[in-house]
Amino acid sequence: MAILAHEKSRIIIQGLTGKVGRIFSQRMTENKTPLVGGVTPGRGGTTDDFGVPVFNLVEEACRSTGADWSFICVPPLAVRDAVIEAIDGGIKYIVIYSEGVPVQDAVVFLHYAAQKNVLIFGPNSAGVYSPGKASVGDLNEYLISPGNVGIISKSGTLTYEVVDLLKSINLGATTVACLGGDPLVGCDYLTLLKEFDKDDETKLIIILGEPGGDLEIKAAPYIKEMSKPVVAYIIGQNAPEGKKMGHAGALVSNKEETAESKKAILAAAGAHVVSTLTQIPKAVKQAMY
Amino acid sequence: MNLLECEGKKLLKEYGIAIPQGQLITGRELPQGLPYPLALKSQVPVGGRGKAGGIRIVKDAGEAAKALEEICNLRIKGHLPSAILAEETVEIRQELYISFTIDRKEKKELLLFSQSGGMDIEEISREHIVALTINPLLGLQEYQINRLFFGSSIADEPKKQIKAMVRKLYRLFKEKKLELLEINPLVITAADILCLDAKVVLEDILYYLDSSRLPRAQYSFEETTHALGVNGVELSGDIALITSGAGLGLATIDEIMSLGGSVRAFVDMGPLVHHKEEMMKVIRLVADLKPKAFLFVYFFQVASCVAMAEAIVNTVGDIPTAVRSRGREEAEAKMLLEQKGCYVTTNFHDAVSNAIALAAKGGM
Repeated sequence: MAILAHEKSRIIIQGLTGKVGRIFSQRMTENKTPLVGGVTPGRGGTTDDFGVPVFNLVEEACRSTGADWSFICVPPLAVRDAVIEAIDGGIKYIVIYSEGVPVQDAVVFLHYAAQKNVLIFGPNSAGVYSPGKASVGDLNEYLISPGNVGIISKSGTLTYEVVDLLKSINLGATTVACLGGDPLVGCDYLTLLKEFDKDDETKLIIILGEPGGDLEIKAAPYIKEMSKPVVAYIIGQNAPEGKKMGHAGALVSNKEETAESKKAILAAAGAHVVSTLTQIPKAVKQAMY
Repeated sequence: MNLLECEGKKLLKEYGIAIPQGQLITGRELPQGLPYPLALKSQVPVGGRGKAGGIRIVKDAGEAAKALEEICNLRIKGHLPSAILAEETVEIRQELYISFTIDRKEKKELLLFSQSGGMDIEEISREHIVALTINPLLGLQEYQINRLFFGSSIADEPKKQIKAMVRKLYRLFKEKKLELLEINPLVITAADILCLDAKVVLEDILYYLDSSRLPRAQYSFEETTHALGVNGVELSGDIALITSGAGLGLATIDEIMSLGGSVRAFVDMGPLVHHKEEMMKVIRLVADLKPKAFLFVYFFQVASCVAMAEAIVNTVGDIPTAVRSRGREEAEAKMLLEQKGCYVTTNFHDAVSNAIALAAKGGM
């Protein structure tokens, strides 16, 4: 099994015919991910270059395709409207790929999503990927095959490295989920840990976190209760304080939010905590067998 | 981006929020038509101006000319002023504090208010601060505005004026999608309620869309890289690190430090990986910091390794360079980089240790 995204998911792309949307339409079509349509206002009724049906509105797309996932790659200042349209249209899971969304916009749509029980990955998320079943984002077959590891990450580029390392020790994933690099994101570690815990095929979960915020800390009590092993790497233990290191989300606002503090809290909860990327394969092998 | 005080006040004025009468001085010319004594305030995008001597009260034109000369040449936390703001001085009866920001943990808007303003919010004791969270879908409610004044000794008339101002400030905060709007102090004078200072933090993306901003006297490495569309940080070590993403960048810094190396600068090139010319501008900027070695780490799913490799070979010059090149079109990229004499590998760890070795050699 995979969690959340699987072969029965029905995915649309908001921003289908844009520069980024085209790339994803092609890739999802080639990778046989269940992409059922896309939305570009004004182009409804046509199909794009890869045969994907285009709709004017999310509502129409949902009605004719039964879509439940949306991949949003519209310009950052258009994201707020796109997310609210997706929620109103009946979408249940949203990946916001766009980067640079104003925090005030995020506050509004995250609130609305929570009210309507819609799960949001991002903003600034590389997406969700269940190998062999569905890819709602950057990751694809060439990177990682089906397996027994669940991955929850704040960072897309770091996730590529980790799946690559897993591949080198012949391990694959059930599902890989990127929460997004922004300071305010929708889905958190705790929500996904519970999903992975319920999933029979997932034998081990890797958490990739960063300084700033409290998402990793909120997951610690649950990690303590879980029977499945958790390997955790919090990047940025050497990041200078008060500097914006790429992810705005990685800005530390109090002592508990540093990488060192998060590592200690997760270790105390029983997670196998590593200090560098290259230590991950060994820790995974030890925790799994 | 932090706005200058005068830019923040321009926004306040647009929203009908009262500020002192003032004039912006961009050269050395004396202010005209403002009554002395005047306040002359250095326009730098950082806090702590008062303590650094960047705010002067002058009694006449003679004092003003002398103070102007001094402030114009005064660096505050490394910044020379973009301009000097001359303002009327007012008789202050009471100083208040008000700010709007985003509470990250609660995912709500946060209003902080205090009737003892004038000092940093961190210095105001907790019992004198009212903190209200605002539901972003509902906005600031009247009962919340009323709550700011429970147990307050402020008279009815100024209270009414402050309430009206709070509504306007909130509207500004929302409409301009500000990261921070802080008025400290908000002052009560005999006749008015005025915003004596304004700290406004604008979303980067909105800042660079607005061409009316005053040019800064100089830009930090961070600001220059932001203006090019990426996040950069200047540090004091040896290796200049450029990666295809922020998370990968922080993980690379962990690896560098764990192997005994150090970082001169870090740039997350993520947003520009499709734009070769823009990447070249960024790399040139980093080369100006004279790092002992360059380390590039990337793994491309969608973008091409070749674009990055071309940007690298055109810009790194004589600086020793190690590249971890992986992903789309990695074979072609490898050839280009090797011709230039770069160390190229697909292995993350090897790239890092090689960069450390190159930096050590370059340092001898």
